[in-house]
Amino acid sequence: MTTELTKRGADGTAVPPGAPGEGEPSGGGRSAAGAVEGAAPGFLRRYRLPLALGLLALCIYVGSILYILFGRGQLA
Amino acid sequence: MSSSHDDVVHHSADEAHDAHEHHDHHEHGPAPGLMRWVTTTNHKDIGTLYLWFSLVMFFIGGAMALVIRAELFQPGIQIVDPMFFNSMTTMHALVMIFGVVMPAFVGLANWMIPMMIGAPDMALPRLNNWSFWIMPFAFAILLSTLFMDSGGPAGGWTLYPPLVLQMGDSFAYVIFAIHFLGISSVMGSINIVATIFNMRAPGMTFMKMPMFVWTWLITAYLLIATIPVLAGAVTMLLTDRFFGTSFFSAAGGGDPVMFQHIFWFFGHPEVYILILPAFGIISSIIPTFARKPLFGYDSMVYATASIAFLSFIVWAHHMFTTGMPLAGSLFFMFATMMISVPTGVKVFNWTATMWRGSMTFETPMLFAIGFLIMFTIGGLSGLMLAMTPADIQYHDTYFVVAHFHYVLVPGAIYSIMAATYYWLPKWTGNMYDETLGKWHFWISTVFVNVLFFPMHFVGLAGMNRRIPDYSLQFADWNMVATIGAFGFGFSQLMFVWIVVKCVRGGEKASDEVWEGARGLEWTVPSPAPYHTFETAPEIGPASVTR
Repeated sequence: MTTELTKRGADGTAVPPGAPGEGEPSGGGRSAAGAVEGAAPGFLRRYRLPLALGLLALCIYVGSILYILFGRGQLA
Repeated sequence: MSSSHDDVVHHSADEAHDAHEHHDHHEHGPAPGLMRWVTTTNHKDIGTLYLWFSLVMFFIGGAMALVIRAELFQPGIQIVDPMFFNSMTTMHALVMIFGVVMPAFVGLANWMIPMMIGAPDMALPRLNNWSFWIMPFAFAILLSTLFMDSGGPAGGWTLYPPLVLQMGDSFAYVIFAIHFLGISSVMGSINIVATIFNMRAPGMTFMKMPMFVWTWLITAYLLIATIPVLAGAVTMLLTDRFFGTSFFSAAGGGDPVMFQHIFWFFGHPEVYILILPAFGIISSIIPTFARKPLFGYDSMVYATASIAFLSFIVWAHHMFTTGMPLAGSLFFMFATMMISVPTGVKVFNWTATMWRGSMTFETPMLFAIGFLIMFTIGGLSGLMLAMTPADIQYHDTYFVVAHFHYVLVPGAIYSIMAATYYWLPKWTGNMYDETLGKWHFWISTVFVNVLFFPMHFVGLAGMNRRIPDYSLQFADWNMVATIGAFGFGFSQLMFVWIVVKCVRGGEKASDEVWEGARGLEWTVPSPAPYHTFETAPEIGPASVTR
């Protein structure tokens, strides 16, 4: 995912292969770690961090309601 | 600036210049016309949108504050009816928190985080566009309730049941707006976390990140963890009001106090959401104008994380008067007082940064020092409020109003002003009018104290908050506070004038802008090109990036 995110230009369009820096190994957070060489990762793999954080937020939202329903006995 | 920093500067600045020209002539720049702002996915454009939106809302929320203060100029009902007064206190808070401070910090994050970490943009540019554009619609819905038959929300921004459930049908719009503001905040936070984790330049390790980036990373996690709790609470209010449930209705077996627990589980971390980015800004500005590295960077990072952790275990200090077991009171009292330790570390470090520095007092530094002193005043009154037996006396008085306004106005708002003056030359390419900036600071500082300091006195003497009328003995200090309010409010027009003047022209800013500035954002040209760091800068082990 990490590399794929950097492959998008500022307007969200894909940066073409061969663009400056493209395909070069880099360090820090913009490393190629996690990307499969030569293959485009799927949606889930590409966006796993934002999806995980979004899922976490959704679970907390639902969990807070379920807690009142069941944990505090509102449904009883 | 060290030689290693120079290396980064020249290398990156040249690249940025090249990239800028390349893009200006051969590739996409900003879209022409109004659609640029509607469809933009550029982090700088979106940052600008957030900042202008915040400024507009600042004057809307400020106008509400002036209605409140005008009514309180003298005892008795003078100008507005009590119901509308209550709407004003409620809306003022909602607008200032969700429409001013948070969007301003998100705007600063959009502008600065990619440039500080050497990234070309935010990780999720389209999500970024949505995060912003949801907000004006949400606020349009929220503010429209003031014009509906049943009026705007009037039960306080805390939305406590059963009072808030007595509101008319416009309550549904309020809940809808809060949900959308929450969605906007969570999407923005996810974007910031993804950007910081994935988009840092090679060599930009976590402990090389500027404090502003660190504080925003931690703030983003706080938002992701707490906004859904608020959303859950207001969803339950909605079903209680319109669908016959009894989550918080005692008559139906529900528990109104439970709402307070849930609300403040969100609400107290929210307080730190409103101040942690300010800490990051101050940690950027003070070293620049003291011409010294930030004292105790590592401890600043750990202090920020500690504050964030502690913010989750102190919520019931807002509820001491609801009654709770002694062990609960003691726990929340001591946990709250513990927050003063990492906060004290920060205040100490900022002061130590200035110690024997070659200090100059340009406008950003004045606002930063104003922040340091007056935020500390707000922190100290917060420590008084943390003590359970004392809080039972102070609760719901103007002492509380004085406390949180010291934290939020000469605290959070001053940090936003400081950040604007600090980075405005980088954004516009022009220097702002330094003389006017200093006038703005001094006039604001005089009036903000005339406005808020007397509230300590009337609060300790027993004046309740959220009332349009009061006893005669509070009249003099209320009159003084109202004079301060109008002085502070109108002095902010100077800020608009200074910003607009700077955007339109002025003395050209250099790339580095400030003599003691450090960090990657100062290595790009002024004004910052539409696209920066499309080729990631190389950060060496000795490079100065913070």
